[in-house]
Amino acid sequence: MAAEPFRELMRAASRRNMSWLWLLGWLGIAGGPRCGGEVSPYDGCSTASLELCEPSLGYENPYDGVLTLLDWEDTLRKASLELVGTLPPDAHVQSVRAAGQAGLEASVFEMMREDAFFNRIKELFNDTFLTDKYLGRDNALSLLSQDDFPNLRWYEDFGDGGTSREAVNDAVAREVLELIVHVIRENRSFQEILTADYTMANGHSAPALIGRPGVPLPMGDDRDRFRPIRIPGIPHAGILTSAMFLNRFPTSDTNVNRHRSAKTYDYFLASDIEALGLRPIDADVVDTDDPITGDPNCTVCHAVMDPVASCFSHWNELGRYNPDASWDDTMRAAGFGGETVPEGDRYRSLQWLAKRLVEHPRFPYAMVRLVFEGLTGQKLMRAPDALAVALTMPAPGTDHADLPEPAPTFISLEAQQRAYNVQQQIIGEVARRFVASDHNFRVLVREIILTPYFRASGAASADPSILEEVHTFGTARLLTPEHLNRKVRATLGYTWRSRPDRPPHLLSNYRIFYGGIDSDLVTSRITSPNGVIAAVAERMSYEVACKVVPKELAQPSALRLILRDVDAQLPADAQIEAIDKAIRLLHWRLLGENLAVAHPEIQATRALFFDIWETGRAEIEAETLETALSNECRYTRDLETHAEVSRDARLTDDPHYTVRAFIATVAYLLTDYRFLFE
Amino acid sequence: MNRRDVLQLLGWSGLAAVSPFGNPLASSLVGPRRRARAEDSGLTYSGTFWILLHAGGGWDPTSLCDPKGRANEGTRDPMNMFFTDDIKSAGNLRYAPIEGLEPFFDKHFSRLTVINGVDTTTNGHDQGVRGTWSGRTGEGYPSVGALTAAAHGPELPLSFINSGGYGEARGVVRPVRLGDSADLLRRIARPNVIDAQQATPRGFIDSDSVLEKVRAARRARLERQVAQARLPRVAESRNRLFLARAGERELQRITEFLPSELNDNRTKSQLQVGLAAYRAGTSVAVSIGMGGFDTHSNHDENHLPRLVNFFDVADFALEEAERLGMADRVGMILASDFGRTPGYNGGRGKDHWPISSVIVLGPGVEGNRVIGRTDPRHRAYPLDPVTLAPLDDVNSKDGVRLSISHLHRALRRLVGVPDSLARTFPLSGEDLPLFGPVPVPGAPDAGGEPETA
Repeated sequence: MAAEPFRELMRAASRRNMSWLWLLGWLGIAGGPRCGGEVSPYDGCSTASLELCEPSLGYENPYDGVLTLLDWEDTLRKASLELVGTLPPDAHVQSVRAAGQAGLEASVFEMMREDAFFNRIKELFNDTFLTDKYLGRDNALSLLSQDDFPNLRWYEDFGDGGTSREAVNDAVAREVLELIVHVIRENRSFQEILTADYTMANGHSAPALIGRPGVPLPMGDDRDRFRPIRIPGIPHAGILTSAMFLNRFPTSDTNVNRHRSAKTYDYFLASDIEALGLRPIDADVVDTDDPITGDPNCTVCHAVMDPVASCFSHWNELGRYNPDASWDDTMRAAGFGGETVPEGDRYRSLQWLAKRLVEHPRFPYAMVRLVFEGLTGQKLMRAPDALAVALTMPAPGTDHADLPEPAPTFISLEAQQRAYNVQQQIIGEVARRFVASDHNFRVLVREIILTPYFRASGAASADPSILEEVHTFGTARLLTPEHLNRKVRATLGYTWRSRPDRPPHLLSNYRIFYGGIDSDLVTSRITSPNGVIAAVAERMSYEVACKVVPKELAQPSALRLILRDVDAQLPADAQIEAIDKAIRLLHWRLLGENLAVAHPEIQATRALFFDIWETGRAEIEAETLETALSNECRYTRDLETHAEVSRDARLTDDPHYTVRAFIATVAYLLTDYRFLFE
Repeated sequence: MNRRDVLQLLGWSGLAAVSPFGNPLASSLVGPRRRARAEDSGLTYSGTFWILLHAGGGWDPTSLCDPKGRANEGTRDPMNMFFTDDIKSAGNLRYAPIEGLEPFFDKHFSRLTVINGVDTTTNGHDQGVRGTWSGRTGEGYPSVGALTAAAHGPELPLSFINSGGYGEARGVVRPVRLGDSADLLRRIARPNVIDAQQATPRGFIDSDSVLEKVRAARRARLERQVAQARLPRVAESRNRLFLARAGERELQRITEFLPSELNDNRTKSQLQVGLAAYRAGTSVAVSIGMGGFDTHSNHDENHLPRLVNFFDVADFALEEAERLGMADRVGMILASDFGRTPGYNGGRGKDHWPISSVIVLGPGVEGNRVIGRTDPRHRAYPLDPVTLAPLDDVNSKDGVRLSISHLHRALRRLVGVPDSLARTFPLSGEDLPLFGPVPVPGAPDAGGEPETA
């Protein structure tokens, strides 16, 4: 680095009364927020060095003989699709075959170093924090004040039609999610998501947040790389002081941060304090002068809620920090758990709060809950409510002829209680191991993958009460649009979209149809399929098969993923062995089924293929069908670049209906339950 | 496979009716009479289409259908900034003098029942939304829209469209999200068609008989998977997929009823899609939400324009129904989380207040009617449970306090939720004649007859 710009940078820091530490930290020289990473006992763990892996104790099957679990290889496939959206590479498969659970654990640790994993983690946490609402245009930047950030719109000089603006905006919008990823990537204690005395910025957003107009800020080689920064004058407390978090969960003059308090309890302590007030409020007896401190209907929540709300009192509705903001005299004093914020910590009360939140016994449980629900798509049970259960049971003396048909099966309170106890025991153990690892997030993910909840694949018992109890096991989640998009790519090497320069359908126009969220108006996912979702999946199957099959068959065999030895120019009955092989491979690759040719499901697919082929061939012979593929299905352009492929590499004709028989067969498999669910 | 086969299959699996912790799936709620009629009919619904319009954040009834105002400029701690002398009326209904509300009230008052002084018993948003639309502030109850759909067409592919508001279905039906793009709807309605706009559209699979073979194989495979499922969660999700697919072809019918161009306003276009789904016989209810009503500061500047927009959308829905010749088959429920505090706070805003209002119209609803009364500070008077006349003393311990539970007991009867279904989600309190006489104990189930035809 040239000396003059560096000196100018230091002078700028001085003028702005900035800490030198942040600059040194930003430059990666020394001090400041560390970005060099912690040494972790899990760092060296890989499939090539199993001896460096600190093994998990694993989990006993709590219903041995009743509940069957995926074997380690199938668990690997499921984990790989879940964590990084790919099928496991050979090295992982071989490691699992050789070392079982140890190989799985090492493979999972390798996955958790991939960028795809960090993208998945951002997606998972955004389902809670919803800060992706601010992606695009200047949605995040418009929340910040130029008074606080004089270089906020530094990109305006570029006149590049909004490209730079979006890069700056999106980096600012992502600060919460990037902080989470940073803590994981650098092997920090996961407590740091709240206690971090820094925030995150990249080469686009750092000039906006800590730069000065006209003063260059060295960006490093990779502008997209996020690094910690400290914004001068801001008492950072991780997520809690992020302007994005504070805007997403805003306050008002009269809400006085109570909404933020409720969210803090919910997200970081897994405590629904609003549920404390479920008993009815009687408007006629509400003390309208001062209900919040004087009326028991209200104090039941507010005694818990308000001290934490007061900890946010220096942060206004736009997330601006104002150390001079006066305390609201009508509110309880800032504090937590019966403790009051000392006078000396008053202006950094969120830092004070963060330390207490992360030491609270419910913090690890809250993190386990968040990650468990994200990875399995399954809500943790709440303690069974005897009254609620009783309400769903047929009333004593009910004439069963009155009940709907077929008669519903009710799960008894006792069975629910036992299922809850088992779940609490296992989840509690996951939380203990997470804490014992110094809150290492990767350990938390590994442990959840090893639990029977992630691995359950079947159950058998003659005792119906046992079957009731195991109702909580096994993931049978409808893939989210993001998951399905990745799975199509992972299995077929193709992204479903109209053209390579367009966004994937499942992340754009079909996202909401398929039950996804936009982090703004639609914030909860649909988890059960409906007619629209089924129709989108069906359309996906036809479009994807129509693109992928001709491309596959136009490629040399060595480059193919699914139809390795099939010849598009031969009739199907002239290449039966190749077709059998392709069908087995399709079952394995798309559905995870490793089946012999004689297996009834392979035979069923095979019968379908030949039935289709004969039907199509007959229609060609009858001249009711053309031999040419439709324009949409012809392989004439590269699916990744849209560039025209050479004439001899094209596939446009299907004289024997072999290509189209595979299009139809692949479409059949792409709408299979095992493809659409995990 | 027809729907009879689907239901049989669900029965064979032995798990069709099982859902976590006592919430039966839709199929389990199909009563024998309705099932028989539905199967014989080919399943199109022609009863009342219910539109649930939710004002998200908690609206201010005193700036709407329970107007209070202020006597003059010197009124201390006014309820509203408009003057009491300016309060408007349409028939028996009174409404706040806010420019933009007239089209709705003046045009439609003869169809409206306004219920004032409804006690939501909460000032928490989540609880308020749940309570207002399910009858219970606690978790676990479906929206009245979902119950309506379960009562009249649980097998319909778009039985309950969730485009916002409270979309919880608790397994009684599968809520569906429809966007506001006619083009995308057309594409998924005919998933095999490459471009539906072409005169002779071609399919990705170019032979109808091949397409039918694929679909048959897909059904057969899922049947085998349902039969083989041994883990209850897996069995349940396979069942759900089966039910989802059972009506996929009916999705095509919607596109025949979509206007060539949808309204530019997103909420209005969602209504148009909902109406098209109904006209195709595939939908019973739609829930739509509009936000921005949680105005803790600068209430009048922020809240009142949103009320005008909200009722503009409601008016649009009724006008559109009229234009399509189905005005007599549309019902509408307009409600919000709760009300807002009497008077203004220091930031000229209004906070949360449990007393609210609900507006209902549609077949079975007496028009030009106001039920309930609140005092000048928006406290609810108790009502005579038989005549619904407000008692003279707001503090009286006699009579009944009109609660969300009362409201939903009556709404369920109005929309035709059979007792067998209603009992699955019981509500406290007594029946009140909000929308007609209360049922006589011991009388046969009056609400269960289907309108699928």
